[in-house]
Amino acid sequence: MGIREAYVGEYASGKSEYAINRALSLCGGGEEVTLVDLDLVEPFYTLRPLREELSAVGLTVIARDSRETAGLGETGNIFEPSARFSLLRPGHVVLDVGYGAYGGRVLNLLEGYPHPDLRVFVVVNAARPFTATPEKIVQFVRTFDRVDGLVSNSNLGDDTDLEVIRHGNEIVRAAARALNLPVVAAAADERFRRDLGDGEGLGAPVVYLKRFMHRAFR
Amino acid sequence: MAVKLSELTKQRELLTGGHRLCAGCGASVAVRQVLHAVPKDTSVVTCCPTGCLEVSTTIYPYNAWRTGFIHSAFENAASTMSGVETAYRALKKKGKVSGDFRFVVFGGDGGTYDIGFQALSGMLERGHRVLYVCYNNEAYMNTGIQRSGATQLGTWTTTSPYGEQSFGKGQNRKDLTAIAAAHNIPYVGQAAVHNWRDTFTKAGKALQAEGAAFLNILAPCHRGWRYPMEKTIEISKMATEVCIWPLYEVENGKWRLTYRVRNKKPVRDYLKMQGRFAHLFRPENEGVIEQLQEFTDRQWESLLERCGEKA
Amino acid sequence: MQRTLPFSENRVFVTGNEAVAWAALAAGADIMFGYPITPQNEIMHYWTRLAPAYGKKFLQTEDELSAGFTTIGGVLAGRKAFSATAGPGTVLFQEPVTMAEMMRIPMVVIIQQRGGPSTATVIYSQQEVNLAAFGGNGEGWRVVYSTANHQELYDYTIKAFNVAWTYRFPVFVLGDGYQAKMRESLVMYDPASRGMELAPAEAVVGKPGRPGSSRPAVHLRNAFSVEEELYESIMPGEEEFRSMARRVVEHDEEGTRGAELVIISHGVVSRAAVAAIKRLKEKGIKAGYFRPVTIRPFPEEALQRAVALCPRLLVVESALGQLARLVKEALFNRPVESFDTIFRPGVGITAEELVEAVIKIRQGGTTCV
Repeated sequence: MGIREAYVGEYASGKSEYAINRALSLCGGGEEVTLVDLDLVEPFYTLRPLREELSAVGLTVIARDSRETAGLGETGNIFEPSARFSLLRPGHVVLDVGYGAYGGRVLNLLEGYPHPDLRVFVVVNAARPFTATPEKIVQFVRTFDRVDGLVSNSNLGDDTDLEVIRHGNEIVRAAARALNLPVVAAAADERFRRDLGDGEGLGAPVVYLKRFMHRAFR
Repeated sequence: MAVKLSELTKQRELLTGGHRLCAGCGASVAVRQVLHAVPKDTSVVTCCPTGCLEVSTTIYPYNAWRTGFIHSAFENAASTMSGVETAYRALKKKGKVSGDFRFVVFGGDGGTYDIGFQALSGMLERGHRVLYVCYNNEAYMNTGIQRSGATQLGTWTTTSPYGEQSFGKGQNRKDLTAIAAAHNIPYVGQAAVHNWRDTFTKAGKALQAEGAAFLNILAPCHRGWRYPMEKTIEISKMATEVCIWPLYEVENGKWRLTYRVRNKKPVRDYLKMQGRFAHLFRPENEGVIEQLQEFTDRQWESLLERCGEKA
Repeated sequence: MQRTLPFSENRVFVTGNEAVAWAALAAGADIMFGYPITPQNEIMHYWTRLAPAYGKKFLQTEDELSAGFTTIGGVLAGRKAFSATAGPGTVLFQEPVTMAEMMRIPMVVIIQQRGGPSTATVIYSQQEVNLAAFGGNGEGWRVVYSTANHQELYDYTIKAFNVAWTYRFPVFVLGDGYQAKMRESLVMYDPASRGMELAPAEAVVGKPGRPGSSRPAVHLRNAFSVEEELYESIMPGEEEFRSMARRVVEHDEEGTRGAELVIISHGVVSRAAVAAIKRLKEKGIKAGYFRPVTIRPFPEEALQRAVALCPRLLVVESALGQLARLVKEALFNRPVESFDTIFRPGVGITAEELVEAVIKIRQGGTTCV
């Protein structure tokens, strides 16, 4: 049985970015890899516009095309039927879930949930006001029904610097200690590869991200 | 009027498939049940204020309505239809239009209970021969689940969140069905999507009425209410069984229960099925469930009295 | 309950709507009155999440008329009240705002512009300039800030509260759906830590003492029996508006001296204009940029000075000439050599398009719609 991972988090935490990169990293192992857009909360900044590009590198992407959703409700959205059965697909499955605790509850809608292999990770950006301190992160993570670990992903978009990453990472680690959860990865844009190297001192394996989402909403 | 479901399924749907409402949406069910009651050889003009139903059924250049359809704005569906109905009467008088027409508004609770309320009241008071149907999902779903005048006490919405300082919406909903009845119009009904026969029958009476008619139909929304999409009908049924949404009608001033609840269940049985009430089951919010139960009981008792069900 | 702001000069990553909610908190707002409309909904959502922790309040009303009038009620009671709206909601706000103008009631309303005239177009436009500046039955006694990025949404929301409560005129902050939903980094700060003083709110009703004897009676009027009486009231009001205008008016300008052409824009489109003049400079073309930050009062004198330096203009906006009309009025009777326009109601304008347009104009072409 392949990997089953769901990435949840606060609005603009970078969970979609992380989910894409995670799914891409699983490609090439011979197994089918499926990336599922479960963001029913916010129709902007979802994976749909990137589907063709990601499919070209071997990912199976389940998301609606932006043309199919144009004009759809003011904040409305459609739950893609193939997404509903995604947990039951062969190979690896990475779920990009809508923001907040209510976004997380979309998992209830999946066939086969609760799934014995499913792991749920909260992607945390400490540059987001609602998750800016260990206490706030703890409070936020506790709103989810179930969490298996945190991903440290502090960033300011184009304005990110090393200090933002390092300082944010400390905050996330403090929260993880309080929650008794592991930090499974410290994520950073690939442009920091030279500075961060193998992530020594970050306390978790560093994962370099290629950015896709800035092209998502065009 | 013993109608069989098997017969209804053979009827031509006036709201066709292919629209973009969510699977499991109560609104389209309500619309189809109402439109099935349109008499044969009668044309229909429908109108929606801004809302999920309007947005999802009329994505330009497509339209899922096999009726004349009008959308103008959020607050004015009742005014719009008042004008259409008046024009029809005038044209008919002049012999410029033939055939029989019915006029039906389908508005959500935001566009009916709140911003469209004034226009609705005006339409009912002037007595236009229009059927106004509120497909009631108890919040503004189109704009992202904000509370409305139809939202029940304690409900989570994006503008009535819960936390240390709040248990969700702080007020009881208003009783719009009774308010509509207070306009002394020929027909007012309260229905729910699980009871197709009841809704169909009420819609039939409402369309027969020689004047304004109002139907308030509970149409659960799994996105906003937070339950699995296949439970829409089950939840609608439970709303009736716990008496938070009784089925009744007011025909020419006469109140009548159209479904007698045999074994009234506690409201918590209904609340626990939905994520929007999940926080009420935390120990600190227990009192809210009791308050909602009391409100429900009081409304129910008063309804029984009005319907002459109490000896 | 927290009383202090949760940030100390931190750079954060937020949406525009979120920036507004935090700015209102930083500005000392006490209560928000709102009604759902896309694309401002998340201002309400964030405010309702923030409000309880900081002892702030929120009320959702049954429509925008009511949201406007309840905001006024909050202000009369001595609270810093605000609201947010868009499109058709801005139309309904005109009645309460007009009343606030005449009664000199401070009021802050954030407008996240959406397309019109219509409903359903909820993403972007710059078509609410007319409405924000001159909507309502009156003389347009309001201040309108048009923001270009999240930092400005934050800064000018705070400023809006101060201007409203200092001069007692309604203030609009004009954003748009793109700014509302876009994520961008900005520095959030507590105004006090930067030495900014927040104008205090003052209760107008329910003051201590006996009106007319122990204290002067508060007399706010919005109803006049005869037109002459109205006239007598408006003229001093207009005088105060003009005197406030001189102190509040703001603009941004770059490279107008020695420029071949000046691009005039406002709000989010100015980002494209700033990028375009940079790229043109790389190509050896000297273009300037002028941007009214206050749409009302309009920076007429500054624009006149800029145009005296360079009388060739290109006005660009995501509307059909709403900004251009203000520009023309400001330049009435001034010599202008050329006046090109790009009007794109409801649609964004990119730096590339502007570069192309400027090159075309230099070659003797025109971009006029």
